[in-house]
Amino acid sequence: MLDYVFFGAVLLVAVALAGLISERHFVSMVLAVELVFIASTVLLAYFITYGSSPGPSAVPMLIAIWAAATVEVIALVTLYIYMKAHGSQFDISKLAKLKW
Amino acid sequence: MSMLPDLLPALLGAMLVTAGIFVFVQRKLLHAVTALAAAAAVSALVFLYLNQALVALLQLLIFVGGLSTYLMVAVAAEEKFVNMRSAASFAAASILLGAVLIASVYGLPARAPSGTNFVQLAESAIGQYYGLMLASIFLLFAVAIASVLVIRRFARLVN
Repeated sequence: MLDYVFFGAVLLVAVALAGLISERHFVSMVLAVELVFIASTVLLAYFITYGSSPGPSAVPMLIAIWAAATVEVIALVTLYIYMKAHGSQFDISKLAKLKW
Repeated sequence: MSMLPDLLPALLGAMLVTAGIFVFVQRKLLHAVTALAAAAAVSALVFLYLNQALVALLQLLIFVGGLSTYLMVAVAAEEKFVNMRSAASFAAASILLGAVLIASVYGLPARAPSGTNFVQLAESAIGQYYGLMLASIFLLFAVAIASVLVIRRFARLVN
């Protein structure tokens, strides 16, 4: 019954998306995207193990997920630290005050 | 004993989702990062269960050893507390999105394990895409380092 792993990864995506829309802290939103990356690696490994004929293109895909996750954290957290050090705020809810 | 093979994937799936929920339940950001590291560690256990030992090792190295450590150091220095917009909205959105996603994938035909291992795939894939893969990894890390440099320059300009 390996489907539990599959459903667990799908539910992890749901939790991460719910966190993404419920949180207003910038780093928490970055963590939510990281959770989506973790779920995608689990799903990809699941498809490699259980796919009828997994192609070799799954390997660059997995490496691309890891690389994108790493770059996202490095770039966004560095941006956050520098912006915070200079007094800028990252409150996403303030976007609601923008007018067309 | 025969229940154990059925119980183990259910336990791993439950642990994965629980660690994901803990990321958003914690008020201190440092604890949230620790929960993210726990989720990555549980996913490595899932890979071990799927007989993908190399992927489990790489997951531990990249997510737990690299990313979580970087996030902890970055967050621990300055962060205090985080207020979620609404815990009720998080719970409602989790249940709603979970139900929608599970309903969309429910009923997929069950498959027997193909026995394909990541190492076998990597041997055939790396021969074809080695140069391209290496170039894209260098390019991505160059973008990360360049973004750090640009942000530093931007911060100096603002001051």
